[in-house]
Amino acid sequence: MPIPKIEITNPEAIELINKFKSGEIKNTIIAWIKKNRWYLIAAVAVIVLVTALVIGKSLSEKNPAPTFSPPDIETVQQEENETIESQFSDLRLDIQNQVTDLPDPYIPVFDDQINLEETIL
Amino acid sequence: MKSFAKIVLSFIFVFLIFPMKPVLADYRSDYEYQYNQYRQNYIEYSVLKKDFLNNPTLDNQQKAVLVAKETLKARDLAKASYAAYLLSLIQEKKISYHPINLHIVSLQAAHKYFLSEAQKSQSIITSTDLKAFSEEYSKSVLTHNRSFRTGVIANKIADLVRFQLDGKEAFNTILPKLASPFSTSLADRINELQLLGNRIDNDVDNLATKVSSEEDMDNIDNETYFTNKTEAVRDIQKLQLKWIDGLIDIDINYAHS
Repeated sequence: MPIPKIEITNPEAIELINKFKSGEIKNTIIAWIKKNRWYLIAAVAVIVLVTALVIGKSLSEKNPAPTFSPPDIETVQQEENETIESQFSDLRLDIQNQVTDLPDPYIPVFDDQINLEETIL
Repeated sequence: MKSFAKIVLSFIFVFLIFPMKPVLADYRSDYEYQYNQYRQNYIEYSVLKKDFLNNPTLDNQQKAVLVAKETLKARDLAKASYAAYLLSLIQEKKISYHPINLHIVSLQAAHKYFLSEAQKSQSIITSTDLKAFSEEYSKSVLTHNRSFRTGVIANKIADLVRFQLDGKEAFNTILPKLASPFSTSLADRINELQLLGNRIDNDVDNLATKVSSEEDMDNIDNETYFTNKTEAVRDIQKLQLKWIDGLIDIDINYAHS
């Protein structure tokens, strides 16, 4: 199907098309870019940096950083020995606690000479 | 009337819930009480005797005789309660060991003698009676005083015998728990234990025989009388500890496996 030919009659549009054709707009833009090139470079750098950070963050969230723990230090762990209590421990304690010093119980002292005589020392 | 019945019933209920335990004075507390009484009387007697000797009036003499009478009674009751205390200590071991029977009989005789003397002293009226009583007493009391010394050792021997009996019972308890036939090491340990047990029995017998020997009785009043007995008891205790350690070793390593 043939494309119908469009005729531009709007004078403002015609003027703009002419400006394009003559390169007037192009020159204006290039002049502006040249004038503000350092701003543009800085803006691009910032955009690149922010983009890199966003990408890096999203990547880091996908792959969480491994947790580093300190290497195991060899420590002497006491072996848990199962203590077996003998049923005769009480008897041993009884023998051990037995008083061996005689006389036990102590023999009290009594006066067997109770009288009213004068005691001669 | 109804409220009275309620009170009575409440008392009965309380007594049923909390039955009163009978308060029984043991032989030790009785002896301590009697000995304390003797000490208090003796202080008073010493003071009044001194007063009388410094100022020998009839009144002072009478006062001193009265307190002396009380002191004699307290002394002999204290001695009787000490003999009863020793007897109770021996009896609570629940043993039947012939070599100490002689000392038990001596203690029983001493207990009876001191009770009798406590009563006899109450017939004293004059200072002459007091003098005669004390002279007679000092002659007859020696044997009974000595029974305290032998009684104390008999009590210690009873302790040692009780441990031997308990040890043998423990040994008999453990034997069925051991896996048979016995391994060589276990058989050796059991053999060692039996030999050691026999040795301790012999040592206890020797000590008991020595205490009853004539030679020992001659030295009974010596200050060193208890020294060699203490050493003997200590040696036997060491062997008994060694024996029980051996039994515990078998119990832990062989009976529990």
